[in-house]
Amino acid sequence: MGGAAARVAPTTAFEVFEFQATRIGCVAADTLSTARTGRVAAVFDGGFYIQFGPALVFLGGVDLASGPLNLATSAPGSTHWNSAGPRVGDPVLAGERSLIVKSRFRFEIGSAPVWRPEGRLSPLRPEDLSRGLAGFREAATGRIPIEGLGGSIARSRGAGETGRGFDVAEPSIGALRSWLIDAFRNQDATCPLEVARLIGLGPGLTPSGDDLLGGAMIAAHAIGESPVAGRLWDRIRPDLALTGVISRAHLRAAGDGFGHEAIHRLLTAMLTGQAVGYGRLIDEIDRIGHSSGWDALAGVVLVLEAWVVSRSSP
Amino acid sequence: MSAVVINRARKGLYLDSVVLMRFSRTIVALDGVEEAALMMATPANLEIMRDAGLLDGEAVGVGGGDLMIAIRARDADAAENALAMAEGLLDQPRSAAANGAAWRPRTIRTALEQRPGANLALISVPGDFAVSEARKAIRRGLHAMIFSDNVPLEEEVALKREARDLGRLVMGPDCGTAIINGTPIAFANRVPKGDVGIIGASGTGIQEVSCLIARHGGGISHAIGVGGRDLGEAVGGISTLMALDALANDASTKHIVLISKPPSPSVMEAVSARVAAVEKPVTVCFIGAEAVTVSSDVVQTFTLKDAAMRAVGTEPDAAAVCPTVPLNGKRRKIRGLFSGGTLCAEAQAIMLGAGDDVASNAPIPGVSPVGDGEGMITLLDLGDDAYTRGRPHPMIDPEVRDAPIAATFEDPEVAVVLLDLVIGLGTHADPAGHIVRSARQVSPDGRPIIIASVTGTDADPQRRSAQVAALEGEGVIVAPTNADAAVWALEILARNRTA
Repeated sequence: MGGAAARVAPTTAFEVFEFQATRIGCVAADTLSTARTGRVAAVFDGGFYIQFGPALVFLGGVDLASGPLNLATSAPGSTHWNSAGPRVGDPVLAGERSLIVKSRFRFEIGSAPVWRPEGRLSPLRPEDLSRGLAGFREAATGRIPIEGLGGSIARSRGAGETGRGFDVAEPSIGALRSWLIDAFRNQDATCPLEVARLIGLGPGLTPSGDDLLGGAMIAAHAIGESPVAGRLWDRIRPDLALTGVISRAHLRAAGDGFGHEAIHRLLTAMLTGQAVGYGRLIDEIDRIGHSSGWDALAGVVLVLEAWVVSRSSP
Repeated sequence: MSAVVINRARKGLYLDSVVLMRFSRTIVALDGVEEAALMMATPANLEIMRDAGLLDGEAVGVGGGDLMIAIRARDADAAENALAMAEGLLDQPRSAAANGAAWRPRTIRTALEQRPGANLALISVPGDFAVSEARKAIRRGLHAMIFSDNVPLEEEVALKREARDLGRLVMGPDCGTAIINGTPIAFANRVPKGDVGIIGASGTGIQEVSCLIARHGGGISHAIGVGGRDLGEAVGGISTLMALDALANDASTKHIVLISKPPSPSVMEAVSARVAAVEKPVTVCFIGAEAVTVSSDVVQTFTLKDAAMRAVGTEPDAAAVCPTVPLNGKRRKIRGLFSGGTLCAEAQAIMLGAGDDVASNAPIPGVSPVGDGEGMITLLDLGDDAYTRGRPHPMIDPEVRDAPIAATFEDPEVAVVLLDLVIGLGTHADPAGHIVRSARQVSPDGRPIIIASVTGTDADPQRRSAQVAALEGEGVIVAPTNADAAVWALEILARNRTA
């Protein structure tokens, strides 16, 4: 009456649950290509983080969305990993073809395809981007969560939809916006120190400020402004210790231009000037953490608007 | 009185954001709490908390990987109460599925800590994990009912052997129905408590028999599902034999009914021997089996209806009076579209017994597989895996039957459509309404005769009488039992052949 696709291999002493990896995020793939031993760092219902030195891999079942750190497996989507067995601190052995969690779970990873977001779109046209941004804004009206920094999406246009943490973050977001416009025009503009105050700021497992910075770097890479993303990363990197290890791992991936697949999908829609059809894309954003998806989008929109402004007359 | 601020850091505790936000809101809403935050203790967040008057000191020794509980309350009692609540929330097993609901244990161990007197675990997890959980249960002294399917056969065998050695009963896998001490579990009906014990390899078989016993004034002591493979060669009837022993020794059980498809020959021998040793009346109903000789105290019936009648001490009667209805045109075929596998098998047994050529996707011995070609009588089990893979069972979502029903209603060769409706706990809220809507798509003059049976009782949430009335209101002929429905279909066809 239930349904499942994976198999169980019993042994005389205990059972080892074996699953196939079905998709590996590009950063996770790099991590697993060299990692040998790690430990379970955090366990949620939907999956668990494995820490290999400074790097993290998030492992989940068939329903796990694609993301740079994500390792989707054939484990049933209804698996509650909190109840299923992995515990924080459990040892993890990584081989070339398999991942073994406390001799209890074995994940075959050798043949899984690697997920990597599509490369940057070119040529990028301001009129397309403006149309895409307008379409997104219209669809997002009334859907931005009150918590976190998603409110800055509305605030940047003078609307009143802002989160509780926004007032604290506003000076840093303002400084980031101004710098981005300068940076898109002038490759020598220096990223202000104030931007780094967003690190570790706000609610959530990955603080909202981190998510916003991540979204900004992802967007900058996507529009072909990798040098700007690089300078933002250079400003953030020395202060990474000010946030948690999970958030640091996501920020590193964003520094290379990689984020959750839903962010990339929405970004592509805006870059190609899509005017309608954002409802489902926003539904996917809603499913990223409590407000993390929207926090990252705030960074994306910040970058895209700054780029449009930078292309208009000074 | 000045406000009281209280802090507590949890080292290296990561919760997903949705859970964190839910917990924060819960704490803020407590009586006497002025402000509260559950945030990662990054320097930026500590600064926010300090500015908000939520820190009671310098928060030394915490970092971005730690979770800070910060509460400001009107007095010490309110602050301590809120802190206790926060710590309780953080310590409980976490599940997004429990969003806003009362806390429920997530493991068998913690469930047993809460209910140390429990002696049965219901296992409903993906099949890959089911045996592991069942093994935990039996090793902790519990009997196990495994609702899950997709359990490898060799795993079932190993589990049941271990359970037998431990003196624990395993019901299932794929056990959808049980009634233990009057308590219905999973797909079951509300029937009176009584002295008939049922052992069944099938869920709908147990449901039909228990409901018919209730309708004839009897009641059920226990109904034990054993899983569809238990009487096969590999498992050897381990659970069936244990259930027979349990009911034989149960003082509240005066009569035992055993329902199954025909067991494998060696298992039939073992079951017959054990049945013969039971010092209580036993009725066996191996649907589709030849006659077997067990002992004088054992009665064999060939339909669920007869098994129920025997159990309440009534001789099987003839089929209820079949209404006279004319057939439209030259329609000659019978199509059965069943949601219950055993109800489909019962209909096959009846039609096969009448000497007709019958085909089914779940054939009993003597019935042709549907792949061998369309016959005059085709009886489909639409709860079979082929129809339900990745979709709900038709007892839960009747839409699974929509396409086959629509096609059958429009087939000019089909004279009679047989349908079963299984109601009760866990099933669709209004299967009759669904059938009525489907029937209305075709004019009564242009569709076949529809004969249905409703398995259930008036104590069920859907109320059997209401379901029957809804069907009859649309011109559906409702037979008292599934067996009667099959007999009526044959009779209507026979009358019109000779007319």
